[in-house]
Amino acid sequence: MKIMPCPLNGPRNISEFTFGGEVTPLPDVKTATDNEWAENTFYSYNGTGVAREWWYHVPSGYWFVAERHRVTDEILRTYDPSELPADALNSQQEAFQ
Amino acid sequence: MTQSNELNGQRDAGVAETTDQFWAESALARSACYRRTAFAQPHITATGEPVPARFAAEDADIAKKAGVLDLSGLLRTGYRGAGTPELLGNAGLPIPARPNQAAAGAEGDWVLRLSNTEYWLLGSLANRGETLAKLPGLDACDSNCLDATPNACYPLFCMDSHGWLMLTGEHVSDVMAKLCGVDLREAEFPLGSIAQTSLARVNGIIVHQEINGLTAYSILCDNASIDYLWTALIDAVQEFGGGPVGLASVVG
Amino acid sequence: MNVAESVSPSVTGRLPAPMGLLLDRSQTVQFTFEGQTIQGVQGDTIGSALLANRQWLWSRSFKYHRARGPLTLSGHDGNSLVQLADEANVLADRTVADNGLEVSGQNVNGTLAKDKDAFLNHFGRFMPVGFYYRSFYKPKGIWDWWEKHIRTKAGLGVVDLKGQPEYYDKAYLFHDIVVVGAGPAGLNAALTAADAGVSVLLIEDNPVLGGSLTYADFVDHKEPEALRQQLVSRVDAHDNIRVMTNAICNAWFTDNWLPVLQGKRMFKVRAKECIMATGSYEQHVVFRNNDLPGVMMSSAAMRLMKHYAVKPGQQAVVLTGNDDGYLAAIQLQKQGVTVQAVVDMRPAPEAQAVLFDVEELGIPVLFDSTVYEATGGGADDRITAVEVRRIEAPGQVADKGQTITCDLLCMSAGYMPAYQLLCQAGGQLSYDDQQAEFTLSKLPEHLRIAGSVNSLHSLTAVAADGQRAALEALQALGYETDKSSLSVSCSRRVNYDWPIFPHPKGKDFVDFDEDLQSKDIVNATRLGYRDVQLVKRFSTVGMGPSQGRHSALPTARLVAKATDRTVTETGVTTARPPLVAEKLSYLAGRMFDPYRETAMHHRHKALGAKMIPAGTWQRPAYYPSNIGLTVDQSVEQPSRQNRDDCIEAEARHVRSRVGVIDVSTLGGIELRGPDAAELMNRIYTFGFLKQPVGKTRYAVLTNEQGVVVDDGVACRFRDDHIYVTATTTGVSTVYQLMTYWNTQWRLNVDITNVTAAFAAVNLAGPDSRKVLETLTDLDLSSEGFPYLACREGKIKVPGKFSDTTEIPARLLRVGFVGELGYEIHVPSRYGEALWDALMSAGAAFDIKPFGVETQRLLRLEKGHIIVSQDTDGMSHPGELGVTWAINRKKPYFNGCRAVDIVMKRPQTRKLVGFTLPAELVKAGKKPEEGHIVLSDDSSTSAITGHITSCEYSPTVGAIIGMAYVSIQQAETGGAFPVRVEGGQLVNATVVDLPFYDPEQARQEM
Repeated sequence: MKIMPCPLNGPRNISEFTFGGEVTPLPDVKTATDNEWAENTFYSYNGTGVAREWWYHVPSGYWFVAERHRVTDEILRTYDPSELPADALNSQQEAFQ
Repeated sequence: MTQSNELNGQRDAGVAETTDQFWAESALARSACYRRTAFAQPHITATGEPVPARFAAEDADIAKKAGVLDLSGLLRTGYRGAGTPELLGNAGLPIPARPNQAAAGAEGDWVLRLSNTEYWLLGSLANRGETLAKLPGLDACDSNCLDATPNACYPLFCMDSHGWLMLTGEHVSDVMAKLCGVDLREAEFPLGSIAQTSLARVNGIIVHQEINGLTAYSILCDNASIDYLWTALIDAVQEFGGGPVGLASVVG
Repeated sequence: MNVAESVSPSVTGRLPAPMGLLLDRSQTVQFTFEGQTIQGVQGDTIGSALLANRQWLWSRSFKYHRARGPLTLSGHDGNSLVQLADEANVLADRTVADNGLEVSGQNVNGTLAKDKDAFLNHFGRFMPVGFYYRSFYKPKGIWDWWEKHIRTKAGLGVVDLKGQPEYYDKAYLFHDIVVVGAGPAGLNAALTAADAGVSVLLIEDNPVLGGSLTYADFVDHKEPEALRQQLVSRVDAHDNIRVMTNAICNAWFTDNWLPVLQGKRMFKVRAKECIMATGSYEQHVVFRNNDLPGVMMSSAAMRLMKHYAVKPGQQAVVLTGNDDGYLAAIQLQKQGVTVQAVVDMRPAPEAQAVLFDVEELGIPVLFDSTVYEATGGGADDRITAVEVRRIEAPGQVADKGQTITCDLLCMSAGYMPAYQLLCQAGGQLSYDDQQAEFTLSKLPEHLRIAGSVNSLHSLTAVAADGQRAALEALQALGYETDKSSLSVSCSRRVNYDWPIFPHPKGKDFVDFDEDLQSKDIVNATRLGYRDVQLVKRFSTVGMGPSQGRHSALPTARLVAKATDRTVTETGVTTARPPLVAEKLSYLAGRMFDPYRETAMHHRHKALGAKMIPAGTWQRPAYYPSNIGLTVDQSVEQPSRQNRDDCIEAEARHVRSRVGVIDVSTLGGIELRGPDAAELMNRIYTFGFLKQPVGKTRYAVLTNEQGVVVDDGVACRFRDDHIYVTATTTGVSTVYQLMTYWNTQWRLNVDITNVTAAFAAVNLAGPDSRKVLETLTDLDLSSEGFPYLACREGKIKVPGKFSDTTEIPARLLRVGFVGELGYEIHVPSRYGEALWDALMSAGAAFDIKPFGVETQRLLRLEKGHIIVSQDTDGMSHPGELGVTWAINRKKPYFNGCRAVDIVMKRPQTRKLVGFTLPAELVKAGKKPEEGHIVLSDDSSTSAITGHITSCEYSPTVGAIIGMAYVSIQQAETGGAFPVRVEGGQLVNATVVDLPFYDPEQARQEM
């Protein structure tokens, strides 16, 4: 079983985690066309390189970010979401302004 | 397989359903697995809730090997938010330096730091939860508990959301190795360590403590799963000559 | 000669010590084989005891029913599979002989000695490879007839269906360095690592440590047993080493996660660093009749002598392609076996010294020669002679040869690394033409190999390689080590490059398990199966119990030659876990099967409730006691009629008096802080910013596809405090979603999942207020606590041994079942006391508990949907008729864009209420959940929807339900056909929801 290094809890069996999708900003909820929105919902990148992903440690209820190589499946780095750059967040901030 | 069938048997049939024989029912607040400990002598805690105090004369010996305690009746609480250190400081309780570390207070209470801003408190076995009973906002069910605590310090529901079992003795890590995929040997999981993980397929919080020189791992787990976890622990300690023990066996 | 004559009860005749390392000669064991008594010595395996009693026939081969005996004596072949009284497919050469065992042969028709199917041996040419696929499929359907006959003929042992379950379980183990295999490499690796202070686990599948040191002789070391004892005593004395013997590492999984089987426990071992010192498998020579009893690996003969002190024969021939064969010849001769000849396939030995030693003993050596054919006919079909011919070219021999009498032929063609675990780890096998052997490379990080699995073949090099691997592992763990000793090499060549001598009459076996001859492999390639994977699937090579340990190498060589490729290009087939057959009991043994109980669980059980699962919870479906029924549910289940009667009685009671249901499993999430309402507003569809304190509001959750995925009730207790419920099975996902978003929004709100923290009941019915009034000081009047309000208060509970005490509670006036009702949520520790208080206070009002099934009927009468029962993965708010719960004036809620998009599209279906006449229940035509709704146009039979809920309603006096129907069918008053049990059609009438009390008069009392 693969080991995931959790920034809060340390290395743990991957079975303690659930996957939360890639860290990708959503289109602007106010201005995006329906097609752009649907594309964002139903398509995801399927290439090589390093993926930045949301992971959730179920026993502690903790969300964090993992950078994982899509080819080797090697987990390169994990960190607290507070270290994410603001433009990487799915914050939908524009909707609330 | 045989033993698990037995466990299921206990779950379905072996547990008495009549109400007269359970000392736990003399109180309104009850452990979720009180039927499992009905044959023990109870002890009343500082908050008026009973816990099993003594099963048999051999309790102390069993506790040294692999004892299982139900401490669900003993006071515990928790707070989350940036204001929590202020509350702990006011109460004279220690603040562990990092998440997943626990520290013992002067009276034998334990402070568990579960994240940057979340702290759980386990009542002292020695004074039966007396110290914690003075803390503000213990009735988390009451909205106005928010007025009793510092700003950004939210009382948690640990007394009800989680049951509290404890595993004691020299075989604690051997027993845990039958239940949990995290290395909990004492060398890797020293005194004061916390693991938030899955054990016997339920989520739980495991804390390495020491009670009167006895190695003790507290296990806090979903209250609705406590009856299940009790049976899983009792099954796991058999091999080491372990069994259920009462509070008196560890604090005299 | 038959079996009875060949079996001797004597245990005398064993070789003197130091032969017999595993034996305790002071004790004997006795068991039966095929009904004959076998005497052995303590420490014998079934197999060694059989051989000590000159029982060489062990089994019959899979396809031709040929006589088979010992081959490897290490559990690596399928010949040694025998049947025990209570267990099939037991390896005779690994299973310790116990007193009283009843052992018999497998795969025989009749007895092992007189197998009625042995005639198949002579029909081999009619059963070529792929025979089944090609012969039994014409005419169409004939396979069904053949299959049962073939299945009777095929297969191995017999399962004991009366077997008693045993307790198997699992445990985790954690070590810095795990060494798999305790041969000279493994022992040295473990000692080197442990000396550096790390914790080491040493896993050995034999009962004693030492590996090849226990049975082999070495060119470069004369006292292997002394060396073994020295290493083992150091290991035993080392505090840092935990030794597991009789333990099999049965797979390698990512990040060194190793399942290790020992006794009745599966250990899940996690290693920071893993060293595989798994050794290598000695390989056979392919020639005619190479499967006869008496033909075995040289290492097997060595094991037989050194482990069990059994003399393997009287007259032996050793067929070899390396110097190890000479060492075996020397040991055989020393133990009193007359070695008739050493037949060396090479022109000369590598070390002149071994030739000198052999000649010194007077053993003739024939170079450039091979055994071309073995002759059976001895007792147990045992070998009686071999025909030796000169090798003229690879795989080709001279026209004539000489016959040598013998009852034992030992083969040493070379070694195949024990590659399976390493290939599971992603390692690659490549063929070294110079050494004529496969080597392993490209292993993942933190996994190393050492010893003969690493293609090293001198004892000195193997031992040094163990050290090397340990030092590398220590460096990876961050230890400073001496880097100078990190290179080990060995020039010993042990593999003969073409030990394959096809015979025109065949029976030159490549794969003993599957009875595959060399021509079978070549023919497979000629039929177009050029890839070794396809050769395997077509011919079944490597699929038998020995899993290619001996067939992989000759198959690779044969396929490479036949397809004109290199052996590296050809490769071997994929190795997958498990390494050896794994009993299902390891997997099915003690299972963790968590269950959750509400605080009131045992009260329901005491009342005899019929329980049904709800996720990991158990909930009361209904209470047979409510109709005076006492059903012992451990013996019989309530009948369908009992169920219907119970539900009807409970429903009528709630509508007319008062009932109580445990709703503790309902999810609960606590939102506290200045932004509590803001978070609600962003997650759920309704508007929550202006929700007044003391009021509840329906909360619908949509996902990013615009589908309704959960619902609940939001209770605002303070400006900065909202308590929101969620469905039993959905609450974890809702909580996860809220925390996911707030990790990014960073609103000033604390989110806590309090599902298990609250026990809750719904007290419902016209008399519910009267019951509750006796238990609380809250103003319960319709003005003071109106419909859809929520309150915090205290419930007075009479203490059993004390005065009345109060417990804190949250009360919600909800209308889920359509009557005056109160949900009462209390901290879970008080749940049982609350239940008792309500039941005793309610006694005066004839309170009765009701179950989930009754609640489903009651809410159906009110037309309330249950998410996931009445919704599916496509249900958007428009289809469900809950658009009133969506606020599109607010800027955002979870899934808002998708809801907009799907709602813009022309709607194709709608969830509607329907009725059917009550008589259909008796006629067996009541629709059930999942029954399909058809188009009105009977000519198309198109499916337009399905039933989601359907019950007989005593209140309405009709069958009522909800169904998805096409938009055309959704008009009130219209009808739609439903196909019910048995394919019959009924015509349901669309009605407006709810079915009951549309004015809401009853719940708003």
